[in-house]
Amino acid sequence: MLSYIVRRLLLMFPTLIGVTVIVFSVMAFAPGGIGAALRSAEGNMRAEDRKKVEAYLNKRYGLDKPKVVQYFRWLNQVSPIGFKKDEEGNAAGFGFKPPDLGESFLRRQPVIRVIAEALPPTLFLNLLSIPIVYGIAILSGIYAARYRGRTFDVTTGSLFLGLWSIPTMWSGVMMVGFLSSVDYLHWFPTGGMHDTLSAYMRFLPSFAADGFHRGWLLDSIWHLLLPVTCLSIGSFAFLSKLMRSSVLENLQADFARTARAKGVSDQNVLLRHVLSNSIIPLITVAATILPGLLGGSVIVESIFSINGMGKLMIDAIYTRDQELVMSETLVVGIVSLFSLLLADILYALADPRVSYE
Amino acid sequence: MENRFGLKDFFLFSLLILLGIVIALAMVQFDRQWTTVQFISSKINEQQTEIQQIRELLSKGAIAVPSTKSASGSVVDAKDDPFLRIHEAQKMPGYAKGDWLVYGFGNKIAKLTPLLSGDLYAQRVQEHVLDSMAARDKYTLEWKPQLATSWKISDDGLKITFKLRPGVKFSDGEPLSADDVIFTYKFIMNEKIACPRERAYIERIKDVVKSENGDEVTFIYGEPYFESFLLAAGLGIIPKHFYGKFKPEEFNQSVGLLMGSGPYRMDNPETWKTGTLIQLVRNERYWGEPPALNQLVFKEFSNEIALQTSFSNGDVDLMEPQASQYYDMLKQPALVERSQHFDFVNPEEGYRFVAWNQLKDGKPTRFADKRVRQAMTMLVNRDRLIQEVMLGYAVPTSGPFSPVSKQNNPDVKTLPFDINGAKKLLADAGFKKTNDQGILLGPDGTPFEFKVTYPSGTGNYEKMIIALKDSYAKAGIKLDPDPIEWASFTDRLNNKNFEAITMGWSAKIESDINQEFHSSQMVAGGDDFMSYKNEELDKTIDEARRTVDEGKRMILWQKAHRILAEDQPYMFLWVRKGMWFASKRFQNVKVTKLGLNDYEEWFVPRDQQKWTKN
Repeated sequence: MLSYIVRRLLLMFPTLIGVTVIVFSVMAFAPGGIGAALRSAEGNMRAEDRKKVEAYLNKRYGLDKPKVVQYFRWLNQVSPIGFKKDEEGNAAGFGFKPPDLGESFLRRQPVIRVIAEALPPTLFLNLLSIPIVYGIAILSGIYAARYRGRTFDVTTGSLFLGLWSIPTMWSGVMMVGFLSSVDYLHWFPTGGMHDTLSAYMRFLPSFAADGFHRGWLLDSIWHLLLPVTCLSIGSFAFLSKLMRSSVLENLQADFARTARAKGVSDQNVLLRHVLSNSIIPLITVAATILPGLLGGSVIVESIFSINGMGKLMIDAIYTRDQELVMSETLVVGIVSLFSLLLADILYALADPRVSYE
Repeated sequence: MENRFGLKDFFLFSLLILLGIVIALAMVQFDRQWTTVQFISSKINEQQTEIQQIRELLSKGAIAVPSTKSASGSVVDAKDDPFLRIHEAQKMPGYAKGDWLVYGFGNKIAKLTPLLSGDLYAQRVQEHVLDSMAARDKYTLEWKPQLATSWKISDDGLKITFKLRPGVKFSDGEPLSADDVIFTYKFIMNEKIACPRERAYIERIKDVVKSENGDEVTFIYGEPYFESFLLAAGLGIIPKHFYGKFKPEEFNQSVGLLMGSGPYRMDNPETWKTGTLIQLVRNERYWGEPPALNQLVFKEFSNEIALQTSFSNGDVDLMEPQASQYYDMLKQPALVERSQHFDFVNPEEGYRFVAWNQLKDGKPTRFADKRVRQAMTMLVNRDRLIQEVMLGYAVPTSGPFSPVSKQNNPDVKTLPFDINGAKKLLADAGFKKTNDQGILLGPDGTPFEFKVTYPSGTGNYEKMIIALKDSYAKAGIKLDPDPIEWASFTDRLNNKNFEAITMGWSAKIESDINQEFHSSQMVAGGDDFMSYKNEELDKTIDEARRTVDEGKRMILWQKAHRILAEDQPYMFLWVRKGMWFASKRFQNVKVTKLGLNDYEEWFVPRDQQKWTKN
């Protein structure tokens, strides 16, 4: 097992280099450069001024060098081992150095800071919605399998498929339009993570002479309800169906029949024997969830005015913000590879038949 | 089984998770407290310095009358009173201080640090915090004194001297002096500061020097230039003691370092983070007349629907809707009832155009013929186009200037919508026959088909192109829409690789058309991407740019306007109207010659105040 893990870890390097080379090439061959962002953001800049600005930025971010040089420069920059530089930017030997994700042209800040700002909202949203999705989907999947063809199975099946067919774009806009508008049901705020006055709120809800104050904590939850719902509703169907078919298959398997034959109650057959065997396909799916945690959802973030990772990536691509795109790719790539490795290890734990020796 | 996961385990497990959550929440709360404590301690420090200063003054035996009042109090001549409008507002019934203005906008401000951000919305925040030597009066368009009490321009136009207002302080209490003005200039010119845009802009200023006693600063130029005064007078002065303490790299990477001497200030000038609410509080040390509103709050929205809903919910007090949104909002009686709305033509609104490429792959195109370009404009019913695309919230234009701008020549009429006249012009240019599909054939026998390149997925270009396609089809001309993503679009512009292209230019109170129409801009990457050349126009533009006298200059701009209207290098389409929705609580909201008046002039009567009562 250990040698397997080491082998997989070593394989990650060529994979990561491959991923970054592909993404870099796509960026390099895409038409337009940082000039596009200058034109749209600063439309009335004189052409000669714009050329100066472009030249300055190209030099500052090394974009005037050949593409191959740019790639290796970036690779050297993010790698923990490589050519070092002193404070003036002169070469200072080869060896260990702190990896540097570079500077975002779009925000004119270090990439690490940009990501650190965009990550918490995305992570928070996903960490809230994933347990909800998994909890409901797994439970309903099990029960749907157990009572196959009965009312529960049919209702959840069609309900989840119905929800799955609603585009997030539409449901989000409808929620804002109807649930947040003062002209309809003004139950929820329209967007953002906090109220305008949240900095002046107490932390916990309280009652005062002028009525109920919801406080900072409740205010945050209140702001998150719609986006979390919007993120979750479409995801039930897939997981629930997956769980249902997996449980069904195992319920009809020989070992389940044997267990029933030796007198184990239906309840125990399901919980002890069938469930642990049905969990394997879910592990595979879970492995793809982790990188998704970081990726964020562009649509939900746009509709609810949340500054998360999804919007960051899209903005970065549109403005050809090379260092930001590359670094995001690297981060998501590393997380993906690790979660795939984790999934493979979990297979071995969940199923004794799997062995990597 | 032994390793059974029983009820007890479940209970323990839940307890552990609960504990984790509680600890996480506690950390969040400590963090909130930490920010507050930091803020309080910085406030205490500031107040201590202030008390110290008062003590010193007391020990000297007298307290000088604050110069801030003399600035507005002693001036009798209304023309020189920079705060005339606020004084007028103060006399209005119901005038009261207090309340906030929450301005919602559909954009993301990456940086508030001055000089580093060319973002329009960042500038809208900065203009309330930074002061400049003089500012344009929005009602008269004349310059009114701000940090300078008076100025004089040397006869050759190469030196502008400002007399500094005494007693002005930055929002942290430090005095503003000539050194800060010089510092601002030197700071921008420092190659290590990442503000290439501003540097390119003020490069024409060769030096800034102060007088011996430090109450005057002189800006020195190398050549006469029509924007000389604007360059100096509009420069936002930043404090040396604050910005000077950062290393260039620290400054370049900062996001919210914003401090100045204007009517508002950042609550804390160092801690703002991208994506969080921007709150400006009234600067109690402001040298001039304090504004009525306690806070200006800038709130970002990432989509129009959320912004519009927030506005109708009353969470946002001010917004600038798109034409379609404005139209839509006006149809909701309840919304109109509780708000006020404004639409107006404004010299600072840019124009939309279609540019005809006259030279492609080294060969003149069919658009190189002036008659063809004129015909292309005459085939389009622009009034109808404006109705369809802009829902009426735009005015047709005959040239690159807004119809209300002083640069606009009132004698120039827009080309009429005249299909027969256009066909005649085309026939003169050799487009006489049609092929079996009804498409007009050129003198060389090629069918009149062309592509219009436009940015995809932005605004109302789609609608506009379809309407144009219809108009041209009537004359046997085939238009192929060519939508393209913005970055690729700019690439096409730079390589002049298009037949016709449409976009918009923004405008200033006085726009410099050298960029778009002077033949020197035909070079690669220049903005004369349609390879247009008219020697008379070149001369007129050069002369206008050298002329410092405004009256003479306007005559030249008007001449340029006449040439452009005749030549039609662009099909000039329309100038968009400015559109605003504001909450009804705000009084004294007016339309001036430059859009809405300053928020500093607005107020909310006490009984209607919403965000704060104090």
